[in-house]
Parts: sequence; C-alpha cells; structure tokens
Amino acid sequence: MRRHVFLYLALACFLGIIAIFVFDGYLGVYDTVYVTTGEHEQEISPEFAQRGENFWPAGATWGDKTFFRYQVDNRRFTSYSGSIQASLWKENEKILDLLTVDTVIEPFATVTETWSLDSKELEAMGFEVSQYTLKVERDGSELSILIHYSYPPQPPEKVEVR
Amino acid sequence: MRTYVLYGFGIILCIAGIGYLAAEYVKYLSEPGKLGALILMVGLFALLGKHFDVIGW
Repeated sequence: MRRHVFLYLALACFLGIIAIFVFDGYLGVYDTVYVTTGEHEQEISPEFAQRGENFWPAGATWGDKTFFRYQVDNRRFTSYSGSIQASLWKENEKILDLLTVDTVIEPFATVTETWSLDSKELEAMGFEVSQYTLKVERDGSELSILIHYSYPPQPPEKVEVR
Repeated sequence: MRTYVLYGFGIILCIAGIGYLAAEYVKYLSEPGKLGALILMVGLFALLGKHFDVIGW
C-alpha cells in the first residue's frame, strides 16, 4: 500500500482533472431559444452559440405569427442579473423592439421570457416578404435568428368536371 | 524491432489523440477551471515520476 501511495495520488489527480472538466462544463449561464413557426418548434441549444455559430435559419409564412421562448439557465452559485433584449433588424437597421427586460436569476434557477413577431404588423409598417434578422442579446452574448418569410401556399384551382 | 516501431507509432497516435481531445475540451473551460486542471496535471506527472522513482525504475 505504502509502496504505491504516489500512484494512488496520481490517480486522484487524474480523477480531479476529469471532475473539473465535467463540473466546469456544467457551471455557467446558458441560454436556449425556442422558435415556433406554424406548428413546428425549433430548439436553439447553448451548444450552437458555443460552437461559434450565431446565425440560426428559420422559415416562416407571411401573415402568420412567430413565437419565441427564451430560457436563461443560471447554473452558478451566485445570482445573475442583466438585461435581455430582442429586436428585429433589416439591412443592418433596427426596425422593431420586441422585448427589453431586466432580470435577476437566483443560483441554479431558470427564467423564461416569451414574445411573438407578427408579420401583419410588419406589413402594416410597409415591409414586404423578405429576410429579417432577429437579434437576442444578453450582456455580451448575442444570437441572431435569420427569419426567411415566404408567401402562404395557394389553394388549388377548382376544375369543373362535366 | 519492427514490433517496437509499431508500438512507437501506437503510443504517438494515442498521445496525439488525447492531446487533441484535451485541447478541444479546454476551449470550453473557465479560467479557474483551466488553472485547476493545470495544477492537477503538474501534480499528476510529479507523483507518477515519484512513484517510478520509489519502485526503482
């Protein structure tokens, strides 16, 4: 036992490194966005932003509402406070503010914010079927959702049968 | 001799693979996590060296 004490200590160090990798990976502030267009919900996981990608493509039908759910998970031992902003952009210009809230999240708690984007409102503002960028910002982190609008499918023409 | 060359290749590939995976994981670690892992890694190699010293290598 005494002969191998340094080997066991080395093994303990190795297990400590693995524990740091697991625990450190779990801790942090993570945000998840859910986009619902039509009857289809898409989840934008925190790993998407961690990979360095920050443009999520989403398709929507012109005339429909698009619903967003933003979930911030505070997996830290201290509370988190900050502001969450969601806005719609077109050609690098902000055209609509959708959400601005200041939030305080207790340790190991989750906060969910919801908002929607109505394309009829865009139409009333004089905008047309096109691509729009929805930016979700939270203290240094930014996620962009590229919304590609398309016209609703046309009903088939009636054919008279004689 | 040829067997030892193959062993050498195997060991190098293992070390390269583990090094690559570790480098990928380290990207997502926080600064205190990186420091903790570095200290433990230094301790790991020091203790392994001491172990081999004690058993008479």
